[in-house]
Amino acid sequence: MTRLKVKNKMPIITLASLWQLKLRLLRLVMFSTSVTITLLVFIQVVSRYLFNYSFFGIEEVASYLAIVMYFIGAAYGTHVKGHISASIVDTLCEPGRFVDLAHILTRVISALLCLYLASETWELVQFNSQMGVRSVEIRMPMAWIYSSMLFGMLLMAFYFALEALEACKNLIKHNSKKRNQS
Amino acid sequence: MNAIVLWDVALLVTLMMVGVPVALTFVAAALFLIVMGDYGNTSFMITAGFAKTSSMVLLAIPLYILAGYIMTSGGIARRLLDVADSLFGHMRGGLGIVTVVTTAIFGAISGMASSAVAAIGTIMIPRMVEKGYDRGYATSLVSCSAVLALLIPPSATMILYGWVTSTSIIAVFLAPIIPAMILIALFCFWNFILTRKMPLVIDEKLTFKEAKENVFLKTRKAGFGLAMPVIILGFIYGGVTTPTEAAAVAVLYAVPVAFWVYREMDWGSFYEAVWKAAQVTAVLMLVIFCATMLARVLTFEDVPQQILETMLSISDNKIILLLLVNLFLLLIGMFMEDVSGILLAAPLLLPVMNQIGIDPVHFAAIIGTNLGMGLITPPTAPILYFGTLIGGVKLPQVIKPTLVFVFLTYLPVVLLTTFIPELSLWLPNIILGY
Repeated sequence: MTRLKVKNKMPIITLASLWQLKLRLLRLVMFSTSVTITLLVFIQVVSRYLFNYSFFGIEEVASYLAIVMYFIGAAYGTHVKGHISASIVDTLCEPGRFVDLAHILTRVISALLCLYLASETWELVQFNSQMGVRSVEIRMPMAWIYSSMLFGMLLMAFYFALEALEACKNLIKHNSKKRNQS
Repeated sequence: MNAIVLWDVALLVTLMMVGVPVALTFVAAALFLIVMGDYGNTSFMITAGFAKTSSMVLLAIPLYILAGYIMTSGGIARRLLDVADSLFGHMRGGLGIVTVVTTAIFGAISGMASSAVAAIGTIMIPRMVEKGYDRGYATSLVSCSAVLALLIPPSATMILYGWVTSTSIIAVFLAPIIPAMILIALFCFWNFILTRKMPLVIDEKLTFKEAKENVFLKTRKAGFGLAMPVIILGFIYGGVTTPTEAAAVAVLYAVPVAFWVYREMDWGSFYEAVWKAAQVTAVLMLVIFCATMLARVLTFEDVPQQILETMLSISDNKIILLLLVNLFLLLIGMFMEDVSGILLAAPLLLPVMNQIGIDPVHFAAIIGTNLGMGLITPPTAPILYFGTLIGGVKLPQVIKPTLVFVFLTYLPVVLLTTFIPELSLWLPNIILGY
């Protein structure tokens, strides 16, 4: 955590610290949803087999928490470049201008596709909030669940855009290196 | 086949090969079909993905992945390796057998090939290199045998297959077990042949009494870990829990074992294991979400029917059609990982299988072995590449042993599984009366 301190020892929140805070929050969401899902499913097993009683709506809560976990986790996965990829370019080509160009292209395409998904999800959020659509069992507003998906998709688009910028910087670096060599 | 569909496939493969994440290539392919077709509202894509990924059945996948992470961080996986080592470690090529057997046991808990490579590979590859094994060979063996996790229950791939095709998951779990056993035997055989000329360091042979005591000691230490697959499968096949619930039980069993029995996990490593497992799950689930969107559009475009008609126009001979299906699955496996492959191939090929009288449970074993082979077959070979990262080797170093495993281990098993239905249907028949 990067924090600058001024003379009166009051910490100033920097962009870097906000960035770290955001990553910590994402990890916390992944952790807490994962633990809650496990406990909910386990409670259902115990209550059903030991007390012959099933809690109403517990499976619905677990499933919706899973959706939150999937999309926040997918955004974090983009940050750590952890998405499943079958890239031949990265496997067969040495790092250089061609690979940088491929990275720029693929990251821009990825960011645009995430934005497309986000726009479709935004329409769903609007529709569900206008119509007041609620879940079947626990009557939770469906717009909340779709909003978590929207947030995850926008974050993914943001991280892909950052990766595209990083690839651009690498391309410029490789170009100037090439010029210096020649 | 419709030309637009063929262009769509070309777009999908091209985007994958240049490096667009697999999940988003599905979105691009679905979008292409939507743009070329006559679709008004496209929000059905998001709702289709949402409906499928919020399924309770699929919740088993994050829970098994979590169990695998806790096992690895909590020292359970290492103790399983020690047991296998006490049994086979003193033999020539024994560490190779230890790797194969432990991967199979690990697969019976985690159900993910990538988790098996990470858990077993990080421990076994350095240990094998230390004992004189070639690093490329060790990496290849770990990667190729990790694919057993797809075939040994509870496998994430089989859960997906059962879910996509509406087939009994409990029956589907049993279908690939015998093919997996044949694979284990073949791996051990080829391991023995391939390591003959390696300068292996073999542990001093223990007397029978010493060996017995060693095995007993290691088994006692790993007892809690060895009980995990028994608990999971016992709960599922005893009718006590669903596969999803058994996964939650497995996690809540692994946590106290890692914390208080083996004392190898603290809150920091627990926190890390949980969020890392969640992140891996999320990436996988995004693939499922996006593949569902594409599958929905492909269904609207009547692609399964087009594939059926195309295949039947080539031949109506069952053997030729099965070979064509194998070829199709091999190609899919070569370009996609198992989750995407199963989500796309299973609904597309099931009509063909129904037409030629192949049981869906038998097809589960066919698709599992085929896609498993695809995971280690270049050009994409995701598990092989992941293995090279863990083993710290370059691809050319692992290609030779991998090709031996692909052609002399996997291919015979794929063909046996395809043409001898009893291999897949015998266990479901005996246990479930299927």
